[in-house]
Amino acid sequence: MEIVSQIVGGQHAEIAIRQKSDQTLELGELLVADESDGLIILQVFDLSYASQMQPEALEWASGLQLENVSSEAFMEAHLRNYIIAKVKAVAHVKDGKARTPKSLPRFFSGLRKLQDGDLAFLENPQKPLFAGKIRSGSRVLEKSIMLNAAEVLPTHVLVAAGTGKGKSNGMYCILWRLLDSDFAGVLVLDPHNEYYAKLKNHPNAAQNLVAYSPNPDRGALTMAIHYESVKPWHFSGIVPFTDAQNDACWMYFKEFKNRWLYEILAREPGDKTKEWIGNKRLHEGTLAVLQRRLELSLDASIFKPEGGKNTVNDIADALDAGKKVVVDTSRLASNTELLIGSILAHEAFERSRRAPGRIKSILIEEAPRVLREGESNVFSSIAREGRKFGIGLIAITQLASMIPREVLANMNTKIILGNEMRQEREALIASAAQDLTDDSKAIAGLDKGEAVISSVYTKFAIPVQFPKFEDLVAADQKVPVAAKRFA
Amino acid sequence: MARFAHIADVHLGAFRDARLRELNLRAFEKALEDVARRDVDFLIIAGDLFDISIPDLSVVERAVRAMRHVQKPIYAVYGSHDYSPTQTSVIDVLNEAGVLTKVSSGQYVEGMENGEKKQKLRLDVLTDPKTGVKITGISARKLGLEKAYFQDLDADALEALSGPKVFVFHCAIQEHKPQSLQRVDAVPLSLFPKGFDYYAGGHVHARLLTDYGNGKIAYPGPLSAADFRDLEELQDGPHGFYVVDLDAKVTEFVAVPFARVHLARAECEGRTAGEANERIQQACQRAPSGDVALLHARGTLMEGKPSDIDWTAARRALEQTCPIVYLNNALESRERQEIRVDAHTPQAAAEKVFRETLADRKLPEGLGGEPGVKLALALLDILRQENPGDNKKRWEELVAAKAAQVLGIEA
Repeated sequence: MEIVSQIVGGQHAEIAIRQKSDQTLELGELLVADESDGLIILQVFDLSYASQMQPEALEWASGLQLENVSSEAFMEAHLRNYIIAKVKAVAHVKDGKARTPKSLPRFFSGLRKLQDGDLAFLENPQKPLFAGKIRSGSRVLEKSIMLNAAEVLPTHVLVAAGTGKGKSNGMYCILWRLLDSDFAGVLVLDPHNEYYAKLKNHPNAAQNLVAYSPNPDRGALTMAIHYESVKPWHFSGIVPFTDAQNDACWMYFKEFKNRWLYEILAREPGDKTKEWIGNKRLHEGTLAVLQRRLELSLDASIFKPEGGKNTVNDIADALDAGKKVVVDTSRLASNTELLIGSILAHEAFERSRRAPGRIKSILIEEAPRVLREGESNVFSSIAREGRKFGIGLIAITQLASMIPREVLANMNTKIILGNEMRQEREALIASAAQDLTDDSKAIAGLDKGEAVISSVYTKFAIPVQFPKFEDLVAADQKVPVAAKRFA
Repeated sequence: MARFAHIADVHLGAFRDARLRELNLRAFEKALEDVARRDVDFLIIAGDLFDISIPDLSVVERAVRAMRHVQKPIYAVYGSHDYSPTQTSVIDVLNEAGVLTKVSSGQYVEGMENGEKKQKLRLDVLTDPKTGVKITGISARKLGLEKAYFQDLDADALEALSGPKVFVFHCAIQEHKPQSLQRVDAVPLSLFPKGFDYYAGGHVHARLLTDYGNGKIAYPGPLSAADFRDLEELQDGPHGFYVVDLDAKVTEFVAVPFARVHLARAECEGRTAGEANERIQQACQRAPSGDVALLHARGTLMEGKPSDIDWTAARRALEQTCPIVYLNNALESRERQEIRVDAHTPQAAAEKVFRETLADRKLPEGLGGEPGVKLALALLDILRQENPGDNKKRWEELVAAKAAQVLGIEA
């Protein structure tokens, strides 16, 4: 195989290689050093010019060319001027398994470009989570990355990117492939009403996809939640109640059980309420404000005094059965969307706690809305404890730095797409499973769909390219459908 | 002016007990006598007229006599019980004989959806000659497979129809399922064609009348009773059918006299077998006189087995005042590691048992999880069907052939 560069110096985490003159190395490119006992995969993280000539001589030569004094070229320019790349060894593949490299490749080794065949060590787990195709610089290989969903989903996934870098496309691709099977239930809170339209043409959509919306498209279900499905704890960390308002909710719940919301919203105080107000345990003003805040949070298009009694259980059943459930929250206020998420997440979490079954995951966009410093809610509980019960979060954000550090650290798999904001890259690099200190520039330069996957379940931070969603779909729909018959 | 009656879930031929079977038949005859007397233009039967696809001939004979007596058009769809994929159901025979008209027919045509080619189901639409009401519908199929038909439905063609129109169906609607049917397959409301004046439903053994656009979605519930749950629910009110005035947009419920049913309940959760026996015998004492007595004993015994209960004594006590006694022994023993399910119908119970049994078992693809549950239910369904009178060998062959069909193998 063609040698494209050669090791000329450096140290373990910063090996210097010289680029062959007729080759081009790219940031993030994967190269291979063949060793006697296997091979070492190295990744380019920096590129710089180098020359055998003194800088003054180069500047003088440049001046001659620019000022049209002479057009003479350098003698043996390809030998005298060249590119030096800094690479780091990311995996030592031996006996079909990848290990963290603990030795340097042989000095002066020739390096070749990575080929699909070098990646035979990558596992094909029983419960695969598609995470794009291996990318070497901007070259995309045929090999798909299949993470082990049984490990990855319960230990949370962070998808971080700047605007327009392919977050949504990446998630469509991941969910499309998850729809192939029913080993994992995924709840998608969809604030842009895009996921169902993208996923509904999947060949298994009839079995594995359920969609809810206040204005359902054909095939989707009407999103309605009955008052009795709403409990005081669903508001915790979602709707900011004062202590007095929170206490009032609990007093009503203890007294009226499932009818507590009716009793507050109806505002026809019964004997008990009069008594509470009479003996100053509850103030009329608190009740009035509480009622108003509840009315604002409980959007009438979703929360109903009649109907929707089964919705929460139906969704939890669907997740237990490994279905993907998309809830359209596009026309709702953020508070209402998060309240719906809280109700559904509570039920899914409780069920997983009682009887862990299939793995489950909850996808939430703009995750810092619920994962923020000092806030305790069901999402932060899942982030902390979910892994024990097989339930995790897929948190999508542009602003990873807004997520508390310990929560970020708990997210064991990070899909890092391009991000120009240094502060965001630093937050991601500081919490990544691998040392990405040298990759900040490479992350900043990632094009749409290009990503780096850093996970405690991968031996190294894997550069990937998510396919264009439409191409992924087209590839699945080449099978002709047999003529149908109505009986 | 269009008026019609809407009945569903009659389940003629249900019950092993001949007396209960007779009560069910009699209720149907009375209902149709009532329909004949009323000022209605036609009758809609929204599935499950019969309990099985090839019922006992004596049952069919009486049903036909009652339907001929109505002397008004009868429009019907298959239910999940009397459906036949090979069009060999009694419903097809009655359709051919002109006793009723099956309104669920159509064909797949090439269509477009979201700019892509798709096979669409174009339903045939029948027009009632007297009233001009357009009627169409989708029959049930086994295992809730009718959902696929709803997904493929060319709703635009139906929505473009002008004039009064009625859509007949036999399935649960996801958004309107009663809690007791929470895990039953259902069709999302959004898959129903819009703009119909009346959606005549069957399958859900519960009454429901609700708005959908400018029309009504209606389930009249069972006409009488076809299983223990139906009998039990007669405590909450009579069963019957709807009479609909399409022009006036009025839907009236008409009760059908069935029988006086007494329910004796014994809650035995956490009791010993001795204590449970005492409760059960007590519940069976001094039952008011009636036609049918039900005993519903439920709970997990802390000690002892359900077989320790003196069921004979309980039955005798109830027979003092009610000639027909129906026991529903939902007791479980903690001493046996059984799968616990809470269900009101044998179908629901079987489904839950299969689901629990198959949960997390490592089985080849298609045999575990939900596909496994569906497969097991389909096979059980074949075994449930009564021998239509053939000899044993022929019956075994028939069961084997149907099972092979379900399994997709050669018999």
